[in-house]
Amino acid sequence: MNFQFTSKIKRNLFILMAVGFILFVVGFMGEKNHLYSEVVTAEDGTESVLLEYYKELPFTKEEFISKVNASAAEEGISVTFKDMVSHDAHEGNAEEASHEEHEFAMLLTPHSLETAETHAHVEGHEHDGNDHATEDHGDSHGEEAHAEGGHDAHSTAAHSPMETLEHIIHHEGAFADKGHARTWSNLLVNAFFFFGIGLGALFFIALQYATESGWGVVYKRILEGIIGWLPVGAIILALIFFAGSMHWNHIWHWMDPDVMDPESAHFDAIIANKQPFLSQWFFWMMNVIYFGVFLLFARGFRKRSLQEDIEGGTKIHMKNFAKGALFLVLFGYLSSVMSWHWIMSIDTHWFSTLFGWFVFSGIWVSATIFILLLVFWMKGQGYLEFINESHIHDMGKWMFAISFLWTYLFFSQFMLIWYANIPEEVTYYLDRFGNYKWILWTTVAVNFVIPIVLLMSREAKRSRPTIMIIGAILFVFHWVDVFIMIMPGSVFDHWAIGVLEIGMFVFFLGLFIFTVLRTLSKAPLLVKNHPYLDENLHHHT
Amino acid sequence: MADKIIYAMYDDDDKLMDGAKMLVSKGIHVNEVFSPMPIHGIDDVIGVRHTRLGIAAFLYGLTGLMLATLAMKYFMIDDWNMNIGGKPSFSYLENLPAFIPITFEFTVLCAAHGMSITYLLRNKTLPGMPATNPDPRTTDDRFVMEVRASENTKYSAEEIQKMIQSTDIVELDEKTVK
Repeated sequence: MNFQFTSKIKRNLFILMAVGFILFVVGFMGEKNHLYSEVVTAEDGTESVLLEYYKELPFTKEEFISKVNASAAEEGISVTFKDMVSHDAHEGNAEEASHEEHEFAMLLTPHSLETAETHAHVEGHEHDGNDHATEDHGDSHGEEAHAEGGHDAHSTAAHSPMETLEHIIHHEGAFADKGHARTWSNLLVNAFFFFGIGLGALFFIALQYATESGWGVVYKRILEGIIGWLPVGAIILALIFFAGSMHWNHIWHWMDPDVMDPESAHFDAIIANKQPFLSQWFFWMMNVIYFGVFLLFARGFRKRSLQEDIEGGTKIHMKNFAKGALFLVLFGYLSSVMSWHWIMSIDTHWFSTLFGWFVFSGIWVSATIFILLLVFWMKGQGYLEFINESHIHDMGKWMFAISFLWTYLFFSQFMLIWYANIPEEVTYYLDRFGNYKWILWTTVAVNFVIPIVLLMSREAKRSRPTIMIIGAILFVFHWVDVFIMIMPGSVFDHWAIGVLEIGMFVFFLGLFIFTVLRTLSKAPLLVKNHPYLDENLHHHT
Repeated sequence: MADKIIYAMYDDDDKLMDGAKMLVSKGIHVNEVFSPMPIHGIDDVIGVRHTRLGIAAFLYGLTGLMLATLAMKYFMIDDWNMNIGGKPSFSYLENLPAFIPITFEFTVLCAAHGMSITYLLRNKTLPGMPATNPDPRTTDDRFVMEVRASENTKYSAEEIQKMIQSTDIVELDEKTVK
């Protein structure tokens, strides 16, 4: 029996996509960019915030200073400013002088009004320094703030001046993002997450062919349906990579030709030796290989599967066995290199040999979860009556087991880096522990604890409500896992999960399910003539 | 009270399965099946209660986890505190990643050994114990089904034998125990 892709399901999916798209557009309008801020500690222990930006800003330095001063006065602190753009370094170079026009670097030091004396001291210290561009409005505004701040003092007492300043910077240092970093990064997150599900299904079907396993024959058409997303996903990914190559987005730091140019002021010596790997021509050559291999094998498996329905016999089965084994070998290499190219190179300076496996385990578990959710939904619609409890139980075991593979690989990667404590490796986790701390640990905890506690028993793996609820939670948190892999290297600490992110996820989900169901409706849901079909229909565990 | 035990021997697991299904449908309780390999689905047919070995394994694993944690806390932090990977914080929690592999290994060790020993004890199959299977051929290529007369008072022993004979058996044996 074929799956009937009725107009009601189509309509619901279009509504889902429309809602996602509207949410995304709302988020897109409000997208903000930020000055890069970093807390620096002076020799005498004074903490300041260093703000930097290298492109055109919608406000001038003077406007920024007056805005910050106004907010600081309201909050009851005072701020001293020091322009950090060094003019000496670029002397006599016309090209770089033009570049310098956009350069913004400023050191902001917060003072609570009680310590006005130390404030004066710091100021003097700054004037002693040889920087001639010191902008110091702190003095006069400090006096005003003192007068106003008296009655406000108790309300801000809970926050240190530093916290208040960071709060002010977060608001005043934000401006409309013309580069749309969040949108681009999110496109990559969703494109990769859903492409990964398709790829996980392709790997899974190849694994079953190569091992000649009988238990999963009833799942074959479901897997083929999910693989149907691969061409669409590949096009979306290729567009994002193309945009990166054209510098429409700046997700990949190494794509900037300046970074690889030893003559340039932005030359990046750390990755200079990786230039052959991190180069446009190699990236695109490998992309052709990744997409070519995945799509060709996907097409071949599907073609032979439909052919087997008509012809029967074991010839096709043996051919699938050989092709499946060949695909696993290629996939072993390609999935690792692919994840280095596409994702690991976002955090350009960092490297981990385990990364490919970690990405792969995420792909695999997401695919398993989606298979289960789809099967239960379709059973609810009255299809797939031949998938019995034992089949569900077996797929549930995969979901359970691969969740631990994922945790195991996360931990292996983390522990080795934590133990060795080498600067070039720990940066990756320092970025994630800084501003992504709660979301990172929530993800690890959810993706590990929920399966181990709730999916351990035999009954849980067979129960529809348990699998549906846990599956939905894990599905979302494996999306968040991809989010944490990409965001710290592309939007730094200015991440958020707001309407933009949710909208785009919902839109992609709708499109993905639409494509999968469309592929499913094109062939009978149960294969014919598979040598293990009869054995599988009587499957019992 | 004397009890009659009837042993029905089959040369194929599917034949035994069909026979068991037939007997059970007539309301006969099949006490035990001896087989050289697992027969999928037989436990549902003859109504064997699901094993609790999994629960035991979980408890053994939990024991291992706690033992490992307590021991390492004592060895590495309390008794003689160690500088772990240049991180001399002398706190179990802050050095936790270093302890996870051992915790994991010891959990698995305890769960696996505990489970094996429990299994052997419960089945009375520790090395050197007398065999409990009725016929040595059930470790080779024969399948034996055991029916006790005392558990099937609805029928007489003769009736049960007749019913068993109607299934695809190769041998029928009867034993009287006190």
